[in-house]
Amino acid sequence: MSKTNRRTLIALLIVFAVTWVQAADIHIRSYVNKNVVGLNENFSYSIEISGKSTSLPDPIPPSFKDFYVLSGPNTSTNIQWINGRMSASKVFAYYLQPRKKGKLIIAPARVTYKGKEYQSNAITITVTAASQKANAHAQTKTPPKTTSKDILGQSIYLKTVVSKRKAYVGEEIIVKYKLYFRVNVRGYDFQKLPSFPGFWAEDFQMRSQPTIENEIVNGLNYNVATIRKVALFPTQSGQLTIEPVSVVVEAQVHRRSTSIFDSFFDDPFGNVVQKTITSKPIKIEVMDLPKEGQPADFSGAVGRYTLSASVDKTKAKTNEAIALHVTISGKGNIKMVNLPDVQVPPGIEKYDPKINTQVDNLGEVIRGSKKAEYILIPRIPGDYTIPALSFTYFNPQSAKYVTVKTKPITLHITGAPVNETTVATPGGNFSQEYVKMIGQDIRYIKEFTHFQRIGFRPYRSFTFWGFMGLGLILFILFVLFNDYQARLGSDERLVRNRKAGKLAAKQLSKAHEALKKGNQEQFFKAISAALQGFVRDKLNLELTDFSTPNVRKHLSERKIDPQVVEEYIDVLEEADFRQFAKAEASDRDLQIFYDRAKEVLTKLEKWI
Amino acid sequence: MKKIHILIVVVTVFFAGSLIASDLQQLFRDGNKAFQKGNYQKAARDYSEILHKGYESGALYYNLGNAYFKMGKLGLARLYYERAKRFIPDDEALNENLKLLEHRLVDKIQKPPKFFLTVWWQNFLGLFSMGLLTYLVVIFFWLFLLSWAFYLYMKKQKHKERGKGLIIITLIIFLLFGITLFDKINHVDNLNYGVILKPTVTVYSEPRKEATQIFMVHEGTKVEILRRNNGWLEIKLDDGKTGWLQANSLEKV
Repeated sequence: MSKTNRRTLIALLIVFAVTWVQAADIHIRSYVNKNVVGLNENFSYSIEISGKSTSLPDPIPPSFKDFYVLSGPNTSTNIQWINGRMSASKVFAYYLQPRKKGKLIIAPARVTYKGKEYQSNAITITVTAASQKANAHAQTKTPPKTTSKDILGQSIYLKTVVSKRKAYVGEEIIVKYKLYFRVNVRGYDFQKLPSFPGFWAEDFQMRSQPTIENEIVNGLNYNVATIRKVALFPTQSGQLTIEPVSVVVEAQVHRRSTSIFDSFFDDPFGNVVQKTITSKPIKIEVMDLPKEGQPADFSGAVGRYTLSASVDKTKAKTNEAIALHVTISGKGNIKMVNLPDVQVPPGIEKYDPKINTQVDNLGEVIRGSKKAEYILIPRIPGDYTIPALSFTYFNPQSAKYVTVKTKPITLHITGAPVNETTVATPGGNFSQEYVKMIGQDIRYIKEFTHFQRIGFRPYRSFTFWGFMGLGLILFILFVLFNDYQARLGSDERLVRNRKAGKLAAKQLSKAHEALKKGNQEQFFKAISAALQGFVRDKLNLELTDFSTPNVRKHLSERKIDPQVVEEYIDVLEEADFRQFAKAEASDRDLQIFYDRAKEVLTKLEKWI
Repeated sequence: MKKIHILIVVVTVFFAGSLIASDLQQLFRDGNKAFQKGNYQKAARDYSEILHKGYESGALYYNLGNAYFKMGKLGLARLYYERAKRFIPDDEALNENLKLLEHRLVDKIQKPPKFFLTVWWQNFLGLFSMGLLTYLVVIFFWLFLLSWAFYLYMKKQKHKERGKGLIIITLIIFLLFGITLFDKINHVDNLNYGVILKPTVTVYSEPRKEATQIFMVHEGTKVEILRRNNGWLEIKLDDGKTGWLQANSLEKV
């Protein structure tokens, strides 16, 4: 068929489809092959959608919460043209196995088509107790039936063989799936790989063509092939279930002739039949590891192991790498084994190890080894001992904890000690360079010193406290002396009074000198100072308080002859006046004034 | 007669003192000469002789530390440097040598970061030797008393004001130096440090050999001595680790 033709056909089909779809309505129904099943029997459940369209929608299956889905959905589509009318159907088939006894309901399946929702019928399944034949695993007792599938049912089944049904947490359980068959099996395929909840699973590597052995079951000779082998390590205690596994087997069935003629029609290769066979779930009782006798360093390893530690050399120089290998090998779940920690003495640097795990899954049981390679770099010379390593595991056979130990390793390190400090390299440019240190050494000794007695402490010395005390004593003496001085100083008035005459006489003699020189201004100034000073000193008056009325008041208070007072004021005012008057006076005149002032002072002195 | 006796005693003491002083200086010079020639053993012997005679000084301890450093005895070198540090805390050469020595030691001890005020205070303390501090305390005590006397003596208000200021300033400085000296005495005399002199010393959790081994310290590490128990010492490293070790494995600074 040419390309163009095919395209035309497709186009035509689409047109037809669209035409049909408009008129179409669809039907959905569900059905089972049997309504009464044993607990460990399986049955098929199908959803059929039929309609007049080629593009039938996929149904939404109900939730099979009470069933194990062993296989499915297996889809098949069927399109028929009858008398120019097309009818199509789509079947979704599931193989189910009930989870519990009783009446179980499979809810209706639904499908949405052109915005409308269609529902199938609900189905009730009656589950009886496990049937005898399922338990026996050999369906030889069932009467022969004529259909190929039934023949197959008798002659092929799957058996799960576990090495033990009671195990410790972490103990290895070997599960073998064995296919028993009496027909010619052309191939098999795992429908669903079980996810072993509660177990750590380690698959054994199987040969692509399993070896076939012979076994006689209930008097019948079966071929037996181990199609899968798994090592399970329980990770929790309690009742655990190994979930069923289902395998689709393709087998050739030779139909037994029921009539002479049939044999003529016998296909020399037989009928090829596909069948899904399912194993039954197996319960395993998992025990906790015994608490008593459990060493503190136990970290959960179960099985049988050996521990070894070695170094590539025992004598090395500082900064030379030493490789330390620590290996655990044996039977058990080696991936879950923790290597013991290596304690390295200070002075040796330890780097994080490189860990390598190898699992050997070819033999009867899982075995393997875990290796750690530590790089040790000694920094300080000396003899070191890497302490003995120990490793504890639980041996499930003897139900006892076993601790294995290595021997301590002695290292002899020579060479100079190395510090990790790196010397910063000074940067420089082409024209200038920093002064580079080419060597490092201590600074030179000191040449001069002053010795003191060992244990001498300046703060405990006599000099220190002597000086402190001396200062304090001098200060106290000063304070006392100053106080005395101050007391004297407070009698200032007395002193002033006593000195008044002296000072006045001094001023008068000054005036006398000025008189001789003929300096009139100086003369009157001195006279004024003598008169004023005398009274101020005698009366203890400040300069600001010195005014004529004030003086008169103070002097009359002292009951001085008013005549003398008037005379004093008179002379003082004249002296002040003539001090600034430019009028020239004769020497004689001045002499008379001088005598007058002297007389006043003498008179005043008598009174005050 | 009596006067002559006193005179004789004074003269003898004076001469004896100066004789001892010159004797010590001679030993010191001999040691220095030996050091210069590279005869560190003899230098160390000469310096130690001065210590045996009951005299010490910062420079003496420094030189002795240098001699032991050159001999490769880092523990002893550290010990004498630390002793020198009590006399000449701010000596540049000493601090440089100590730093170099610490780099050569086996134990590298991470010093925890200090509060910046503590660092300032310790730097400030390091600036003054104890002798200098005692001088300063005496001087400022005198200045304080003088300014007080000045205040009392002066009559005029203006001068009195100035005197009051002087009193406050000198008093503050005097108190500052007084506190510094007090703290220094506390630091130097009351803090117990020791230097490990054995190549490797195991530190235990308790003062007995059967106790858990906590860590190891090596020659030259300075530790603080917390207490003593029957030939064992509880020590503390700069980074805060504590434990017990045998008393003979270290020497007090």
